[in-house]
Amino acid sequence: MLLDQAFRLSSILLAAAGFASLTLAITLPPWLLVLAGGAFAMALLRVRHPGVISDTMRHFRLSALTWNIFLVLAFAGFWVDLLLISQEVLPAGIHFLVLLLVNKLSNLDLRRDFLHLYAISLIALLASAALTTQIWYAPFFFIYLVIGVWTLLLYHLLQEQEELAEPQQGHTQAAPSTAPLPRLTARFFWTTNAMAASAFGITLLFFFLIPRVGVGFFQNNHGENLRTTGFSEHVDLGVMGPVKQDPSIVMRVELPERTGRNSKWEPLYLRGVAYNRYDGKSWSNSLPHRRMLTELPEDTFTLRTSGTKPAPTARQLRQDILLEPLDTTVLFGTPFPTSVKGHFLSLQSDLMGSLYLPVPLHTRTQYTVYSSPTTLHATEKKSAALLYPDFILQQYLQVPAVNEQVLELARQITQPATSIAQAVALLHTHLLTHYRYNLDVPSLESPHPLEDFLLTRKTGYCEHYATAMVVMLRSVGIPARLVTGFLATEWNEFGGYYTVRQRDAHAWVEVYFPQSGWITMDPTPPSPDAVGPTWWQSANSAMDSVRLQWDRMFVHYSAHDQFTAVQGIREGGEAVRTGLSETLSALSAQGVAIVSHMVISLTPSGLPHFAIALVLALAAVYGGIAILRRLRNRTTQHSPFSTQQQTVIALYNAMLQCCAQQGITKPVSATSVEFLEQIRTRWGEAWPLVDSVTRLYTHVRFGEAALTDEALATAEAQVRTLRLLGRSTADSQPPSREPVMPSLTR
Amino acid sequence: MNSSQSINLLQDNIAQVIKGKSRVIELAVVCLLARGHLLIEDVPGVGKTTLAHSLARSLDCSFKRIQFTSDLLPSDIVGISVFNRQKQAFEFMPGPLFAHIVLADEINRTTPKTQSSLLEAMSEAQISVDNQTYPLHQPFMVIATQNPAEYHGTFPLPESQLDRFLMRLRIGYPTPDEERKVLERPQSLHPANDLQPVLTAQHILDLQAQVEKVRIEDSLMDYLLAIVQVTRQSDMLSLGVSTRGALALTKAAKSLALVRDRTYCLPEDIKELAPAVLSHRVMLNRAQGARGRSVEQAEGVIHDLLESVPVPV
Repeated sequence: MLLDQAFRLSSILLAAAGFASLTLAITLPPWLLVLAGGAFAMALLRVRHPGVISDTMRHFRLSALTWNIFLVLAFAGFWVDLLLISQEVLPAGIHFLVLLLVNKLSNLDLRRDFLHLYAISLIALLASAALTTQIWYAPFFFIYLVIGVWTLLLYHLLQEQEELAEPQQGHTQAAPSTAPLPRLTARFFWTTNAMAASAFGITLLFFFLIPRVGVGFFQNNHGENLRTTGFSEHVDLGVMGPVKQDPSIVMRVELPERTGRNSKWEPLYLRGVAYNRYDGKSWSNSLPHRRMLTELPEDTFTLRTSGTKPAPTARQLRQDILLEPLDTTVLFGTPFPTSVKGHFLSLQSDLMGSLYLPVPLHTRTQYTVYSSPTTLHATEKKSAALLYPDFILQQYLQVPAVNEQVLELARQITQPATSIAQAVALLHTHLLTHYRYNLDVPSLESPHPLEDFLLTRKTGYCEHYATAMVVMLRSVGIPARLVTGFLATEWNEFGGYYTVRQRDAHAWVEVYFPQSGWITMDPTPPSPDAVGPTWWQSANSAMDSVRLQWDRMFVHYSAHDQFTAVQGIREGGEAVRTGLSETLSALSAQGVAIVSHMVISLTPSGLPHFAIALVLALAAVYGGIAILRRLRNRTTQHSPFSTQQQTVIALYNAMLQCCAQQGITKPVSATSVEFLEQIRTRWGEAWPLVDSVTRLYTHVRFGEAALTDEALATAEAQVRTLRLLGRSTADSQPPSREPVMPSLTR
Repeated sequence: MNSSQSINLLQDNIAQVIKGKSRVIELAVVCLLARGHLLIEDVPGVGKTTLAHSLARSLDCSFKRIQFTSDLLPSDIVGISVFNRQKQAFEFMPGPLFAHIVLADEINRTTPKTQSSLLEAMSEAQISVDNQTYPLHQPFMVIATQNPAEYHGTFPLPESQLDRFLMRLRIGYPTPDEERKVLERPQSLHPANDLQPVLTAQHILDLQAQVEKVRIEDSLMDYLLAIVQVTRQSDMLSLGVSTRGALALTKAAKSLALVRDRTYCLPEDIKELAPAVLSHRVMLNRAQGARGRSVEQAEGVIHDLLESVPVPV
């Protein structure tokens, strides 16, 4: 098969593959199917029998103007379709696409048209992908890929060839091409197909092999033995020692509903686990019972913890949390979560309001927590005695066997208090003011860590403070518990979220009030070595926000997100449609009113209204035609050369290319006569031809003489002979290729 | 007799005397038809004067020769008013400028004062003496010669004067064969004296009118302007081509087209004429190491510059 023919055929097949996938994805109206089928049939016929068809079809071929009108009508039809018939973006767009395809199929003349055809077929393939998820799409996709490889190959081959022999294409009808295009062999065919298929296979391989987990396989650093700050499900005060600050990021928390710049630095308590039992060295949970949370609606888990009584009117705080993989099953949120939204298999909660996953997460996970914060009731601020439920008294008043001095200290501190709330506040301030926060506690295995902290050492970290406060509260009869989690203080200005790191792991206290519920108290003073943001930190946080966006837009871009995007486009299209139809109806009503008013006011008595309307319509048509004509005149005047001059310039350039293939190129600063002289010295046998063509060229180009058909035909024949001459000399002997500067007359 | 025939006749006629210098003859005719003036600069004895002489002889026109010397006065060439006793009035006695073809031999030997008395005649083809303006004959052409080899006691022509010459030519030595032909000729008479006029003044005026009608295409005009522009930007030149120079190149190109029997200009016309028309209008930049004879240097620079300007296709 000839190269050109194969190229046309594969282009049409490519378009057909795209179109076929479209027809299977959506039911097209029959007339559109017939139209497209006809266009495909005609295009294929023109490939197979170019001569016969072009002769018979010449009379039936529509002019460029007709096609332009067709396109304009199709575009108008698209809007009518969108607004009135199918009333949706996608079907209307596809109908328009098919009309474009028909247009391009019928006008495959220039390279550009082929490129347009490919673009249309690609859009068709994508559109059908958006419409269907069925298995038959796979074979079409594969066929499209294979033909696509083919078409691109042939396209480039043909283009290369045409660059070598440019004018051949334009004048093939004048005389049969003397230089046959290369033929395609079966071997070429099969090699290309094998290449396409193997490329597809390799792509599939990569598709399945590329890991889709949010954490790199090879970057886990095991074997870290140093105690690091961080969250763990055990609070053990017995082992003391210097604690390393671990800056790795645990989660990022966005508060989408909280706006305003004042709130951004406010620390955020992200609650993990609560403990009620302290044995003098470590904390544990004596209420291990966990409850499965109901999942209703999908992906939303609601929970009601006993002991928390969120006021129904309380404002819910929403947090969007992106949690890095952590070696724990605990899920974090500000106190107290009421519902959690996320892709979890199941979710459990214990009696103290802590949330647990069934298994630790090993991928980065995004979830949303709705919490209702608790505040101390006004009535309870003053009351000297409170009535606690039995359950609370049982669980949250346990005090281990501690030194009597601790209990004495607690009594001393709370003595001046007139209300329970005041007692709590006194203990809180005492711990805040009389103790020093220090992570560098000398390594020591202490049997009585609490006494060490409170009485002798007086320095410690959050767990010491929180334990001391809980124990002292309980010793004076106030129910309290220890909570561990993270204290988010690092606000990322660039992304607008809190960055929570391992070193932000924290422990604090929850105090029970019967009406208000559990109130969060933090007896730990802020770390003294906190420094203000430096440029390094801000650069870091900017980098981190970029990382987060990357994660969100690329790593975790899922089918769900795609669906959301498509949904958004669809809804947008719908909005545009309704808006447009409203404006259009309003406009058309106005227009009709104006026209009818004009008609009535213009009508002299006796003339029918429709006559005036006819005159107006004719005037509008005439005006349109006049504008079109003026536009066309402007475009034709744009080129400084007449068509004859352009023809002769093209011819001359073709001749120059023939000479260039012999190694004789015309320097840009050489005139045609100087070049002719060069030809005479270096390629004598071609000189008469070049001379003749140059004469015609200068005559028409600069003399603006008329170009007769005979002269053009002769010159074209001369160029063709010149090309043949070039081939024959190239075959017989290598031409002299030494660069010769044009001999200039000085 | 159409234009190409008459031009060929003229060239052939001159070629009887000036052997083997068809290009120089052609350029001289181009200059004549473009209503320009010619400056011939070469060593003595290569036929400068003979060229001028034979051109004048070939036309049925008046011809005057002025030998420029250092004591020549403006009145010697323009003419002088003399008191006529009979009429009791001054009477203007026309000088040698009142001729169709004027040969100004060794023009750089005279003083700038006398040189500049030529200015008005050359640019406006008229002469003003004593508040009276006298038109010169038409066609009017000044052919000046100067000797580049010897500069002692000369007054080099100022730029303004040079700019008034349409082109500057060098004749060069003939080839040995051609020189032999010159020597074999009978030496008794000046060879130009044998020439018979082939064209009348009216013929020349007609041809000059035809030059005006030669078509020059827009892109060629752009090409010409690009050449002019490039001379103004070149490092090799301290002074580029003036607008008068561009005008001169246009006129000369049209004239060459007519001489070559065309009604339209080609890029060749412009490119070929550029050295002759432009080289005396530019000043070499001495800082860029211009040395040797400035005539050849300038032509060389123009040649090089032409190779940097793309020809319209």
